[in-house]
Amino acid sequence: MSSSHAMEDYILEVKDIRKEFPGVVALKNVNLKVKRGSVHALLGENGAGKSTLIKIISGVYTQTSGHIFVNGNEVDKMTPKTAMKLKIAVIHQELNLVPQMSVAENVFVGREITTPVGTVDFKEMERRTGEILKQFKIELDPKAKVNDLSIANQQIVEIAKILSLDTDIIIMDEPTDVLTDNETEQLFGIVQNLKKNGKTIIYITHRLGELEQICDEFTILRDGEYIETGAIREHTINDIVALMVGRDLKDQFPYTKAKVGEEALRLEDCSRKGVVEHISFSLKKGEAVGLAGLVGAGRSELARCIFGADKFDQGKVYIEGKPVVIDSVRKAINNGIYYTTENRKEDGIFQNASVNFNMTISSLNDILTKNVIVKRKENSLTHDMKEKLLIKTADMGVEIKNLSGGNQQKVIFARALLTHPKIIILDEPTRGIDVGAKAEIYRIISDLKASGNAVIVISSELPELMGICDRILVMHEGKLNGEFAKEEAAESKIMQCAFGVMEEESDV
Amino acid sequence: MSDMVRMNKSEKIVNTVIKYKSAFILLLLCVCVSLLTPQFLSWTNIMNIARQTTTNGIIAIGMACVIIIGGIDLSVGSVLAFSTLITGLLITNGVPGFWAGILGVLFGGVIGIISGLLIAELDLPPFIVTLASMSIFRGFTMLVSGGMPVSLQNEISFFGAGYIGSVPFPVIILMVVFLIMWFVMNRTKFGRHIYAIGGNEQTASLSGINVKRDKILVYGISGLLAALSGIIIAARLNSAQPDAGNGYEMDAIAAAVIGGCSMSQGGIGTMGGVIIGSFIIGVLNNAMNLLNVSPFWQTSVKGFVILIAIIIDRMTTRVKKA
Repeated sequence: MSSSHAMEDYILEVKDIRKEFPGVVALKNVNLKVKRGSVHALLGENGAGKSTLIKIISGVYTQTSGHIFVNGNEVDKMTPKTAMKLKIAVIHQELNLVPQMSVAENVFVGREITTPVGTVDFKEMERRTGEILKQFKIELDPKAKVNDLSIANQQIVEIAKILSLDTDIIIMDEPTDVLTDNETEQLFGIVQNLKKNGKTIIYITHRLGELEQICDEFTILRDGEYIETGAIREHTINDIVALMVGRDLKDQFPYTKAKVGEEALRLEDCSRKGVVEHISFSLKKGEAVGLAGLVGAGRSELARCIFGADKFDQGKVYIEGKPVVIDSVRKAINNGIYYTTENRKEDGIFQNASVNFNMTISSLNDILTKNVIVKRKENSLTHDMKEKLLIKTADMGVEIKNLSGGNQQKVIFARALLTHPKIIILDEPTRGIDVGAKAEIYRIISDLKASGNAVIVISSELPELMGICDRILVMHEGKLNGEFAKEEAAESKIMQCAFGVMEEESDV
Repeated sequence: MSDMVRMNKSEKIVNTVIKYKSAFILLLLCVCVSLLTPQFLSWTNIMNIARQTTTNGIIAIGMACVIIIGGIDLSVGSVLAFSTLITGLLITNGVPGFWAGILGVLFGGVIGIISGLLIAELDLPPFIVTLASMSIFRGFTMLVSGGMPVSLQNEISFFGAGYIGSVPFPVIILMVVFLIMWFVMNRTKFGRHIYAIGGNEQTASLSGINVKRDKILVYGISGLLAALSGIIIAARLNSAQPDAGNGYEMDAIAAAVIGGCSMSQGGIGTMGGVIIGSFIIGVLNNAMNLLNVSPFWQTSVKGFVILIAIIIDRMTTRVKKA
């Protein structure tokens, strides 16, 4: 196998790539050299130019200037077709599968194998899919319906599809973003096997913890410029973060203890059938409480009930000591509660609407004069928010889908803040956003606390919760299974609790 | 550097054209037609077009609201016929024409609200619900009228055939409806909510919007405007025809789509666009009449225009993305 002379054997080389869009230079002098049979991490904050570069490599965009070499030969004009011929393929975050079809049918979709009569030869497709899966030691039934598979396994189907095309260079765009820890491990196993079989992988991720586990080398882009390439082994994560952000992120989690005031929210024995059971806790002003737990432990469900999007079947809710019944989102907002969702795209933003529209939708009453929307009022409110939260957009009238993930998240924060909430529930506030934006989100949370808000943060990233929260509550199968003050929170203890293996903490 | 600036400028022009593309298409159409037949630009003809467009324009405004909220209303033609019939029967039974008209319009609103209730509360697909009510109310109209027209006894002729100065009264009604709905959609909470629900129902509901109530109201508006349009036609003809409004849903959908509403995703479309859309159809009909195009061709041409409009829309959104 060729990987033995890895020193000079570059399967893909990108030199001095420049890409201009009308009015913007997206990439300037970007270089990328990928060794055959390696796993190469492509790193950078959102907007650094990773996706543009990937699109150029896969032929979706054509570079303004610069050269692309595949196997040492320069490619004149990269198109999606030539990329396919050169055995380059991209696995996107959004999967491209037909859910109603089987694994095998998906692998061969558009290139169905037919019998001599012209009908689809399901047997042969299943056999060939089985072979591919076996070769890469993937356990998956070719006959299984994609619908019935977990997200992780669906991703694997996507990989199988690419492998069936005999692809050499596989580009993975944030594959682990939607996966649980176990699934991530499984994916890493597959990536290792791909590597063993001589495949080259370009790996895009925001989860820097993954780098040491599976990547060999990295290339960093920042603001459309090439910054550095190196071996993962020779760099610490902190070095890499510093290179990505262009400044030293010593204080990754800017935690300050705020003045804790009176009780903001108290739940007493709240349940919703089949979702959350016997939840009791209280939350004070100026306090940030983390909600930890596995996916499916009922954290978002609990939040939705507090926010009135769903209803508790039993139990009492008190706000500032007064009992309240919250049976609609409107009522929750009027009571000073706001919830930002975990899935920005699905239920967080109005994609085709402007930034302004997205910001003020929950607080339209504040921009009315005699029931009429006053644009001037709206503009001044949203402009203040833009300044306060450092939202990067040239124009508040542009559609929100044109903003980066981090900025979209800030717009949603702004939407929450404009309702003047006292209790803010943030569900996975930093999912899919880059390091720099994360730090800003943490700063905003810190400011919220300082100004007397009570904050609940739901996150699957434990270090994040431990970094920014005053207290961590752990949920397991719909119940509160433990509580840790900041000082006593340790990752291992919280995980045990989340898995339900810790007994003594069970009464909260 | 100067290259970039030039690109920006031409890009700006392109963007403006794309943004107001339906207006440009209307303008282009008018220029072409006026070159082919000089009669076209006469005041009488222009007012003629405006009056003929009234019927479809008013329905299309309601239809656009429904499409923007992410639904569809196929029942407008039948609602129109049935509400008009109610007005006719009220007049026959001695109710003063004006009040009979108002009651007819409100009745259309009620039918719309019933469809809306089924769609919002039972979560039924709007296409099916309104397809059903289209059939139900056409049947009712036939049953109640026995298939015969009902005379309006010249009570409300002014609403259909009257003039204020040299402007037909229906045109003024259309303009008033347009202004009100433009205001509602752009300057009120309710309008924002409609765009929000159409844009993303989940997000809307998590933003504190009463999704069900607003949906029901929008179908109510569609029914109301369909009935209003029907009463204008009936007033002009001085009779409520049982087959009135047959197939009008198609012209209304066409006007909304030509005007920029999207059938595949809600939250997109403007009132101005819809008015222009209905005028494009109106001008086209008028031009083909002036040019003596056979009625058989006219129907096909309308179909082609819808296709071309949607193709242009697709192409320009693609340009915007790249």
